Amino acid sequence: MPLGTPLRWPNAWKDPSALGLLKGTAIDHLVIEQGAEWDAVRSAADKAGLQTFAADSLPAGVSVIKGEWPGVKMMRGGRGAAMGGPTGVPWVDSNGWNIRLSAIMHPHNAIWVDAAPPADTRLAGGSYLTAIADSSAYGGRWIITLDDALAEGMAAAKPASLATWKTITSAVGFFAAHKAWAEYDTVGVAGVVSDFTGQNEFFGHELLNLLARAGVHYQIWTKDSVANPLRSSVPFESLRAVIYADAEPPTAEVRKQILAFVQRGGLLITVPQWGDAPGTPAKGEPHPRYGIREFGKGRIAMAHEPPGDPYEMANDAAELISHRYDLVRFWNGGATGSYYTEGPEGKIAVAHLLFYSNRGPDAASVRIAGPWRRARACTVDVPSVPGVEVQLQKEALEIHLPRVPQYVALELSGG
Amino acid sequence: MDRCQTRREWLKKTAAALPGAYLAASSVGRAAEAPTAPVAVARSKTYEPSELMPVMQKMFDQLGGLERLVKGKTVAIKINLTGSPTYRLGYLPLEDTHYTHPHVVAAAAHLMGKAGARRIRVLESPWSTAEPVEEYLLRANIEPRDILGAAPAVEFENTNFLGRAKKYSRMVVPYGGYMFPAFDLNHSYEDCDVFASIAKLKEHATAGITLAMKNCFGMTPCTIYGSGAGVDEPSLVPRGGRSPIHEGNRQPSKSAPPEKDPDSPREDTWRVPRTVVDLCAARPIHLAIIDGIKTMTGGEGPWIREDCKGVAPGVIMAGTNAVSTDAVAMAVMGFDPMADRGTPPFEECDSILKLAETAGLGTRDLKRIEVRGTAIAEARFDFAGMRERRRNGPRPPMGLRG
Repeated sequence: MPLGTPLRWPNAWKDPSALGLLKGTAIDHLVIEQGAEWDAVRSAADKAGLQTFAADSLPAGVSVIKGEWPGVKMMRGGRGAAMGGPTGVPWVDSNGWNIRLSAIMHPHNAIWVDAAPPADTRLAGGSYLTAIADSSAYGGRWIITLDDALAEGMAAAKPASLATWKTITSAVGFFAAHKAWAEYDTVGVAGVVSDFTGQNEFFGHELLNLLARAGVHYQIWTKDSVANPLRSSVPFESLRAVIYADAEPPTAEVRKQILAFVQRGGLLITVPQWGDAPGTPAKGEPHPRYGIREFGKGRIAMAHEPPGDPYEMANDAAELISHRYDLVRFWNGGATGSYYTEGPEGKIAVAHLLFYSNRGPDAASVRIAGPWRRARACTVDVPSVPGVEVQLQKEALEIHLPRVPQYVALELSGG
Repeated sequence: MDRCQTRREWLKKTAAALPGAYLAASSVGRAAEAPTAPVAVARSKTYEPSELMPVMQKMFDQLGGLERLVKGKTVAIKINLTGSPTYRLGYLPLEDTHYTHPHVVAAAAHLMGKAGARRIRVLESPWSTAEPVEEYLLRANIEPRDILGAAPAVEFENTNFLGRAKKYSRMVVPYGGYMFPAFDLNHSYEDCDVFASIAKLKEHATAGITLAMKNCFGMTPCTIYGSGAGVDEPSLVPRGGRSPIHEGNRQPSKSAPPEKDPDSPREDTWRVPRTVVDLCAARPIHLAIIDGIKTMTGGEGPWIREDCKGVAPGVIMAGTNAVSTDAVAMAVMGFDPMADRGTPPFEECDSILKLAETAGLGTRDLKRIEVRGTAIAEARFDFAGMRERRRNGPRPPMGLRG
């Protein structure tokens, strides 16, 4: 199933002539309400070569996840104040982790995200750009869902609404033109191993969500993929750490693979449910919540207590791995997210940068670890952003961005 | 250089010299009595160790040598890493604008090690986190190994919470305190023989300037003095900033001494300077080093709504009396260290230097301070002129910086 570019047909567009708005755009799938009142729209869409579906009968090969409206979470009661996380950093809702997990669980499916704009909020084009990029950067597709005011404004050909629509169509067109990026491999510093279901569903999902918030770039490994590795003959080969936080001990094969990774020099971050850990206590300052053991060339960090708070575990993991190995560091980016992927044979890479504030940053810097010597920044409108300065650092590039919108793709090469 | 006193010796002497009514006595008389010590001033165009190390060695020699101060001692160094490590002034590295440069810290540690320091502990209370200082530095793109490897037995400690001790250290203000009679601080500020403050040469939005003394404001753990501090007992981890001290909107955790007068002004321009002086009396500074090689104008960090600029004054200073060292630094910035509230850079705040002098910590009177090395006039970088021009112009709009 190709990814496609889906749009939820707005209720305000009663007349099939509104299909003209889609002409020349990447939108190729329509989700239309059931009922005779939409027959004319459905019929016209079919004639135009668009695929139409009812919301409750989406095509085979598509997995739909119920997502959040991405962005900085605002406090209830208005006043425009951002809600803070436990460290005071603005809390960001993102669907990236969920798309990636769904893609692992359903590797042959396209992943669509169903997330409606917040009610009673007037959204600017930048919010839609964020919604589109927050799905597409991670290999999914947001089901374009217009807020009522926008849909009505477009039907009435209001210039402001049409300008927002142009932002939307530019963004979906950009990702449709770069669909090969969705096939790139995830570059990570850690691997998260779980079955992500049953009693491990809540903690496993939250851990993925919060590791991303903590800036830890990770690969997702199901226990099956560890026991029967397909993507690599040696699991976790490029990683520095593996996180195992499931409520039951690993199987013998999973344990064997993970301990082999530790013996080669990796770090295992785990919980008491893992069972007895081999090795000897490590010298050095004790960690308040983890016992550290040395095993082979690597280390095992085992929590003293079963983890109750995935936020704490995610932040502990970031520190145990060490920011020394951060793959992406931002400055002046505000509330940020990033997804780092590598193309065929590791010759090129794309780092997707997301800025979740109401507008993009005006003087952000980003450091990307890796062997790259060249970087090109592109936005959905500009194939090569002018005024970008690239500094070579030891095993990294530092990129200085001029004012940019909420999404930037960095194409990296020369490694 | 004066022989280094232990903190207990200092407290004993000072407490005897400063009776409770001290602050009520004539400030003119006290200023004349306030101690003084030479201040070394030097030029260094860059942070390259090949240039910086001999410059700092010479400065310390001009003060009488580090050996007398640190040999066989545990040295604690308070550095300045104010604000979030993800916040830059434009594209400039944080250490070139508002963080103490790691090469200055490393050079100081190296020279202290060479002079026989037994243990060197680098301290800071990073913004809203209990993570190790090393990790905080890495997030700022600063390599902590440059400091850790500068001498034998160098280590970091995050002092924004309890840290490695079992309890906080109660540090008493010998003269009774302007704001606080005592502070509960991370053990590191008590468990040292020598205390050094390595600051950045900067203006400050609340306190006018931030130099060796104001750097010590960051000694206060936010588990007790922060907006997220526990009400009865300290919180386990620090959250938020020090608004309770700035604004007086709440008292520290009840386990710590409260401010002396809950009816005192709630203005930060009154409270912060007094708290700083109380801290510098409770934890005397034996060695003040001020990094003005590269810094910024307009405030203490890029979040200040001024037309802040990265600048390269190319100057570094050191002294064994923090008040006198700050006074020389102010003069290098083009300000009058005798300035009082209403005069730049203290247009809207009280002068830390005047309060410190009144408390008997040291003199700010340049006539009583011997400057060694580069003359002030040769080292001057005109922060004052830039401030005046800035203040006569429109305020810049806030950008989205992080």
